[in-house]
Amino acid sequence: MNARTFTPWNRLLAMAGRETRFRFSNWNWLFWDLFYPTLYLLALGTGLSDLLVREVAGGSYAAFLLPGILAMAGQTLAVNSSYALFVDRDNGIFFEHLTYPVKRADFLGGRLLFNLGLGALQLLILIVSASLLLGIPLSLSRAVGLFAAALLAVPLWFFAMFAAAIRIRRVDAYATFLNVVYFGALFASPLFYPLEEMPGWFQALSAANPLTWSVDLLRALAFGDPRTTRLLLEGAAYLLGTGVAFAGALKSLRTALR
Amino acid sequence: MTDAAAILVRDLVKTFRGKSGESQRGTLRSPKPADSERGTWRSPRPLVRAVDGLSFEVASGSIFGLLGPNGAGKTTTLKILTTLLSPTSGFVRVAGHDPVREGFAVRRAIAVVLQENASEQFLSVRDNFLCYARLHGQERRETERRLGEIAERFGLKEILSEKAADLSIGTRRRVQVAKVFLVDAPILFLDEATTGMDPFVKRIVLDSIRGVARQGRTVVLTTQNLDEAERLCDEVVIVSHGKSVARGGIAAVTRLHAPTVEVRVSFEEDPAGLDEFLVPFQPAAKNFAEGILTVRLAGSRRDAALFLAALAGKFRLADFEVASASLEDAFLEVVRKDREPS
Repeated sequence: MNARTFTPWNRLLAMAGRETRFRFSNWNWLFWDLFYPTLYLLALGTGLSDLLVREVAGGSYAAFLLPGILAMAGQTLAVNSSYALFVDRDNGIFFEHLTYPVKRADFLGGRLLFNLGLGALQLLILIVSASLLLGIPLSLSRAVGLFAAALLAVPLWFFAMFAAAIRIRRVDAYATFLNVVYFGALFASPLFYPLEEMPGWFQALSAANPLTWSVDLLRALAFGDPRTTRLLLEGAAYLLGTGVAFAGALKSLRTALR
Repeated sequence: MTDAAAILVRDLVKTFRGKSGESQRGTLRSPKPADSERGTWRSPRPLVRAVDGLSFEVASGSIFGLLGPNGAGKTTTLKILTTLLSPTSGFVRVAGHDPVREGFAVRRAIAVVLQENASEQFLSVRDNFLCYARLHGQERRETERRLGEIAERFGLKEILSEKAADLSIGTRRRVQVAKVFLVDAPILFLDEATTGMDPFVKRIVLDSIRGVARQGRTVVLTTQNLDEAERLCDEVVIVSHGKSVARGGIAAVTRLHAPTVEVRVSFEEDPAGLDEFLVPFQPAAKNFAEGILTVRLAGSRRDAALFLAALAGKFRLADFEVASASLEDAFLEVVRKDREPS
């Protein structure tokens, strides 16, 4: 091995390259990676949008929904990535990877890099579909802002679900866990509906949900939001949450067999 | 650690929590009641010592065999050396680095074939090689240069574009093993690498291992095939119940633990009085069937020569054959002794 040329950046690229080959080997996976959130937006943002008469931020339900679906995109990618770990484990390659000359952080970072690339593609499809198919008005600067902010939401879910998939070793147990976490996070957040008229306990529960933080921030970027303090706190919580999830993922990787 | 040591292991211990159950040994805590009203008890999860004070040293550039029966602790030891597991206690150095604190530095010095079958099933054989080499920091051009030779050597040239998932288990294992010869890691770990391979491929793997050692690289292997270990290894450690029960060069281990020699003799005529003749030699085992005498004597080939000389003085011999004890004989002897209740 050439230690001089196998720099940290090359290690990240090597890991991301492997992940790319692996995930692009199956078009079925790729379809769900790229189009799942867009399908949500199209399904809910067309018929349902016409049915709803209540006034929501953005002027239409489809426009209201878009920031939420953008926030959800990172979560969807993380789910697929974490399932890929079970495939790697079944193929025996997961533990072989852990003997390769890459740091555990590179292992995570490379996979995250791939997810960010795929996330960028997914968000692009989502934003273009929202604009062209649903006619949601988006200026270029707003579209770029939403794109960048949604991309920043990818790491937290990626790290958190990676850690969970390593710790929960059985795929059936993980599927149950995911159903609770994924749908729990979706519905206990302002993604599909405004929370103002929800019961107090539900709002408190939602306030502790990372998806709420990113939906609030993305919606504030899209339509503006006067709750500056709350948004700042949510932004800080998101950053902190990402750090904690990274530490958790790293620890789970270091103790994968112990 | 001596300068020439690629690997140093001292008093290595690895304990696991076993499954709870009344029949398990070595519990740490007192049992807790599972259902005190019904008077049944469930023992706590016992502590299992998979590796129990193991020590050995692997010389740089040598082929070293980590041998032992199933469940002896070989794979656990290998996983510790390859940074997959943390030891409970002990001193370990691989290429001068601590696998726990300097895992990355250790991984930079090693290439590993795990006991479990491992392949990128959804990738082609070629992509399996390319991914492996890239993740070992090897330049693409260098990988392309070596790939043809490795694929040719391991009989994989015709299937480079096939998906690993479409191959037989044996062929996937061949790909897995061939990968480690694609990169230049100074230390190779091979855990039961030849299991399930046909004799042709096995020979290719063994020749490749010898070739690697000739380059001054170190090979650590575990195998259940003691004949293979005997032909290949410079030194071995035999592990039983997580402990070293014999270690050293093949000849030394064999001499020390199975100091016997087997003599087979055929006669030109019926050897009348053979039983009386054998009494002073006190053979460990003897058998006379279809005109052939087989005896196992304590001692070396020199003792066998003296025995044959005496035999030739008394009887008319047609042919003879002398075989020293094998590594397998030594292995069976030391493991049997270790299993005997003290």
